[in-house]
Amino acid sequence: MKSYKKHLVKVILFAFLAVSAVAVNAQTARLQFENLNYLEGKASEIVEVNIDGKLLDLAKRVLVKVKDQDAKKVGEAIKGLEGIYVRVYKFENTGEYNPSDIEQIRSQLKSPGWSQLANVRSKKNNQKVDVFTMFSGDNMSGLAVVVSEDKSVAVVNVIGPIDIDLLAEMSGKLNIPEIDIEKEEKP
Amino acid sequence: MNEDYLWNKKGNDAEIENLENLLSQFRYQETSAPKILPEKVSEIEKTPKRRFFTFSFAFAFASCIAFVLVLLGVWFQILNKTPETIADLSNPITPETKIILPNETEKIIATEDFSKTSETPKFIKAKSLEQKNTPQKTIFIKKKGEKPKAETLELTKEEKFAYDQLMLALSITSSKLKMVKEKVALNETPEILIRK
Repeated sequence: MKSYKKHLVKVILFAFLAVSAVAVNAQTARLQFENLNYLEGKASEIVEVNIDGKLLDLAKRVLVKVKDQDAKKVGEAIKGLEGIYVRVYKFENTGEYNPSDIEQIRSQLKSPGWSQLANVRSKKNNQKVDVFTMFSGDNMSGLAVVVSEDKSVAVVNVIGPIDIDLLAEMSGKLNIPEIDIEKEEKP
Repeated sequence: MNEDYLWNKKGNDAEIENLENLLSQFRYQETSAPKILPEKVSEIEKTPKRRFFTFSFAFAFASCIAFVLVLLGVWFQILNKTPETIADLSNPITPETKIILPNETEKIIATEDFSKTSETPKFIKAKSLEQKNTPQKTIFIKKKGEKPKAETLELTKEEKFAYDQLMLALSITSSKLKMVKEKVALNETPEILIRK
């Protein structure tokens, strides 16, 4: 009877460890943006990009085809990329979004695995910028950039390794133009 | 001892005759009833049966549960990696794309004809659409009129769309990272707290 109980305890422990291993492995760098979906009805300008899986592979193949050194650099910078998700919302007036929704996204970055790379606060436009990275061992597995201002919110979530310095340098060059949306002034 | 009496019943042997008289009650008789066993029988210690069958069933059941849980975890991971459809691939984003918004009149965003070369870069401005309650979706807008290298290649609609989406995402990411880098480098106002 005692040996039977001992064996049963061992089996239960094994099952628990197996479940724990699966749970730990399931931790990814993917952020949840669902609480920002309501901003689509309030924002005057929206940019939403979700690219991963086969679509990302297709885009990488195009980069390989491009016969240009900088394009190759970009291709190298995103070689291990698994997904990239972007949300940008711009509003006409101040106070059109709930700051707690952005804080909810920031709170996801406080979970284990994420480490803060940069934290910028500016009184100009009440700007808050946070950059977080996630590493699996020595390899980068995720990047998150959260930018909130009075009239705009931007969240970028990159899954997989990416060369941050190279990407920042490439802004405005070659095939990665700077984004600047200008509006015509109303008469 | 007289061996003749022992084997052949010849002669006399007092000792053997005495033994025969003592054991005569146990002499086999065909008509006699079988001997009755004594009432008290010593109890034999019962060895406990190994509940092998019960243990093996529990072990198998627990192993099955663990296996199912592992499979569920793997399945959820595969589900999370399912690519999301972004837009209708039959209408890819091109510099000449018409942007049609719901409840709005059709308007064409100003585009640059990349086939014409000029010394000074031309800027493309996005004409603001009529501001109504419906939100607008901004698309890839180029500031410097440099023809993307991808356009010189023969690409399928899907490839062009995927490339445009990737470039858009990378452009936004790089602009934000560049902004952070510049702020960190400049350290513009004392109110800025920078942690690394």
